[in-house]
Amino acid sequence: MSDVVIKIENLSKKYRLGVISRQMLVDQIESWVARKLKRPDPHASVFDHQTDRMPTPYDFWALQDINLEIKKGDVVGIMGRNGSGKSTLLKLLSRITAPTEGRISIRGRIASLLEVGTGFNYELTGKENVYLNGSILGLKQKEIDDRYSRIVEFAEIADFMETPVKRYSSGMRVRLAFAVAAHLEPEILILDEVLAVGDAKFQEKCLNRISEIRDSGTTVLFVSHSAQSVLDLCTHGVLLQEGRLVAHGTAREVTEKYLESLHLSHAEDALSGAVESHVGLQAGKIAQLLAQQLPDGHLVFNAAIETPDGIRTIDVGWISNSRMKTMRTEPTWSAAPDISVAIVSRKRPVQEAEIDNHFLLKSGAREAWIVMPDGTLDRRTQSGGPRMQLAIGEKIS
Amino acid sequence: MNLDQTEKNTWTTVIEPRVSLFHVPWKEIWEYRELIMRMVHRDYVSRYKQTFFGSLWYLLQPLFTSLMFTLVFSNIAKISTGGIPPMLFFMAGTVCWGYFSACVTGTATTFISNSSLFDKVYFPRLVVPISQLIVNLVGFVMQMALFLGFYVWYAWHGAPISMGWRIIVLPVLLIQMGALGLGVGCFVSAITTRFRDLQILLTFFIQLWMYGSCVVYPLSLVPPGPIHTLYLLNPMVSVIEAFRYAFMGQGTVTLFEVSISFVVSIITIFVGVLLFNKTERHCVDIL
Repeated sequence: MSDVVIKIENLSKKYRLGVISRQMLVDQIESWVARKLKRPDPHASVFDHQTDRMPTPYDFWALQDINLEIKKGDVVGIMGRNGSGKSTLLKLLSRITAPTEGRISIRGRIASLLEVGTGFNYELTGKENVYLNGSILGLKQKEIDDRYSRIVEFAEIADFMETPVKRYSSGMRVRLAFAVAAHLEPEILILDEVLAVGDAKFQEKCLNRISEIRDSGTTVLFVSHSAQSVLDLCTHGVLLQEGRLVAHGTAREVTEKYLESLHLSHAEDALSGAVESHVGLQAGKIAQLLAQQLPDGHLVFNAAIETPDGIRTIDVGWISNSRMKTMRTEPTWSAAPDISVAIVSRKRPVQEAEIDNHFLLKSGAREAWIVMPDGTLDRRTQSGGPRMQLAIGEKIS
Repeated sequence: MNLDQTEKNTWTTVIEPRVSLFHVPWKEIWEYRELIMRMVHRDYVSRYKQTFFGSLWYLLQPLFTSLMFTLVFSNIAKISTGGIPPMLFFMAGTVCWGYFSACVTGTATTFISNSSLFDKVYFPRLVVPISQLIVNLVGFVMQMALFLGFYVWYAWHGAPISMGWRIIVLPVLLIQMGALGLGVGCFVSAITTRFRDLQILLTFFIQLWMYGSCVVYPLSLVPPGPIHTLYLLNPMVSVIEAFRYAFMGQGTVTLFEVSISFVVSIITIFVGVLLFNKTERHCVDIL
């Protein structure tokens, strides 16, 4: 109990939808009058949350009854689809907006990075902006003095610190902003994954720094859309769905649940009769099976893309721990997983998948599968390599 | 129950739905004093950056305004300034009014111009208006130097003006002007987050208010009666008259006026801060 650093009790947040207008006021008055006269309320919504308060169709509950405890040192991945309430939870934790109900108790200094470069003033020099930005994020003068040289070194723009920021390139600005953010050293850090920006080299630097922060014992709340990042960085996970807390446990448990929720929605809102929905289901099942059957490894999802016509192209792969270690020294996209599953769809024809697999097998994959549009699996192995024994047949139905 | 209480005491921050509207987080604001100073620095530096005259604008503005007023109101319209040299008279009023109006406009745009900042980071929102008050104070000090420069010149040339221990009230006047500026600014800021067109009304309204605040004529010119009473309700009248009285020995200052002015100022800042707190909580959701 004593090492709980964040305690969230019955947290709820309600927003008012629609434009604030006179019509809203009129509707509310009409509702009030109807209730007073014991007549049926003309504007009552069917989805009443509170019966004692006047219901309005303008209310939207972004978060409902969240109960959560986070212990010191936990690295928690917060996942959920867009609109599930992740940003609202972050805003509440950062004290940017106030809860409608419930309570959040925090022990320790909390720094929240929802955006990099908050409060940057372009007329001031780089050095002045470091101090301004640091101050806005909660650092004291002395702390910034101590860390100044490290910040400049991280940003790699030592020669430009006395120039006004408006003359910087966008990459320089972003590097400076992240450099300040990376040296906050709070006890609790809230981080959005999209903060790792810039070119590939700097992105890697950012992610490394995030790992360092995590390893130093800081409690981190990491918001991400990518199950892979959560598995890489986090110890625990939290899954939000439509404003409710659906799962809270180890990173692996929660990412699995998250992936489940993703592929279910494939089946729901894919075009009827389309091959892709069937394929989506397969991908989910394969992912589950791989995760269950193969110990000591990580599940890798390469891309989940939502295109205007509703087709999702996902690749699944499993990487063993030993290979994971060697992969760290190279950019992730050039190293092969142990098992790669390529899904053929309208966006990726069979020929392309076969070429990819050929290449992957050459780069060290043990097995490369292709899921055909009708659900069959085509399995290729590295010649001479050991064949994985799995319970998946050649055709999944 | 005891354990629960001690546990509660160990939390650094507790975030709850209902915080009293009257709550001013003094301690927190003090903790953020460095941020206030940084914002002051930022506002000062960026205001006249890359301009030809730079910080000189702080002086040029009251100078030109006073010259214009002298020409129009004293030389052409021949409005009496009660024996005080016209330039000094108008400069006194302009400098004071300048501080007040800068505070109002600075505070009034708090939520709208900082909406992106407020959306991303937490700090007690009152930090922004407070930093505005301080930045404007810097400008005021510079303008006072100009005023005193003219003062010395006129006094040396034998104008009927006298300074004495009375100038000790200057800090009080400054606080009052600041409080009024903050209060009115908060009030406007709170409303403009809901209805943006009021911002345009503000500049217009401030200008009109200036003409009703004895900046370009002394209160003694106002005939007694209902209009005079109306003037007393304007808190800035007492402040400006007191300023002129303190520095130059001529001005209508009565206990009655001063007390009304104080009361109105206190009410204004009270209501202003209340509205500010209410808006602060909801601005992120509305803007």
